[in-house]
Amino acid sequence: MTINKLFNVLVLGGSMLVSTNGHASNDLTTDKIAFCTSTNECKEALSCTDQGDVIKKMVPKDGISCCWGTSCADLDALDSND
Amino acid sequence: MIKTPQAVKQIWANRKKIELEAAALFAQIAKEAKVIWGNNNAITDLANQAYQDEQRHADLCQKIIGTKKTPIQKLNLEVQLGPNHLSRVEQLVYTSISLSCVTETLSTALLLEMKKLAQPKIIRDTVHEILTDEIRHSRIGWAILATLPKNYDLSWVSMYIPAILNEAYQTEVKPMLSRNYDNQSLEPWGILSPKKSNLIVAKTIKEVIKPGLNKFNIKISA
Repeated sequence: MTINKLFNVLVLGGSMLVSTNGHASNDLTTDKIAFCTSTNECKEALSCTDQGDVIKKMVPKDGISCCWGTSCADLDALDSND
Repeated sequence: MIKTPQAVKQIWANRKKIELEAAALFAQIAKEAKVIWGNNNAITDLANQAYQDEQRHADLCQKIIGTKKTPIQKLNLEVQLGPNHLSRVEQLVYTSISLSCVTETLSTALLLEMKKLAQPKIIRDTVHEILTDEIRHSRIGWAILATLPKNYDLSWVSMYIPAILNEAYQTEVKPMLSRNYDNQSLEPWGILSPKKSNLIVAKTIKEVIKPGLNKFNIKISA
């Protein structure tokens, strides 16, 4: 677990606590997902903006999206497949 | 059995005091959130849980300090939330940022490093338990910012951020650092050196707190 992952775990995870569908993962021991929520909420929360090396990705699965730090290119590729 | 050094006991006694102060603040946040957002809001539940957690943390610190029972301190739960001239909502926002978004976020980052270095079982177990809770406590502040209406202007907070950061460092981080001791020898006891702590604090402000506050349109120049 590195400090830059704390942005997803704390800031975005905290925001998810008050969203209607979000679930914030508490796992700090691995590089697993920061949280899962509906795809629409994930898109809204994780607009692909470069904030230093904190960049986010979402992958839809079974009606929800799980989000964690990766590159904007992956998100762009996902959008182009919609 | 390894004897706990006196310097370690002193620093964990500082942490106990800090945990009890945080407990009082979370209790007040829970109370104010109930007034502002009504019954059954998520923030009140989370802050009430944090209030309980922080008291348990103080008990854990006491176990490291020593086995002698000390009288249970009665918490003063009528603490002031933020500067007097701010409105009720602004005071809640100010305190949430100061306590959760800044202090608990820094604490999480420092505990992550402490967890890597801790050796005696009592230290490892305590650091692990506090770290798990501090993640939730930090999230409360970010959750409060996310709860505010999207058109709520938070730019007024920016002017307070330098003082909030300084206060967090002076009252929450510095008392937990080794000073005139052999820095390396205290790391297994959960006491980080000032040099290592300063690096973690600077990185956490740059990579977590600053972009986190920016997300809510709060700018910081640090």
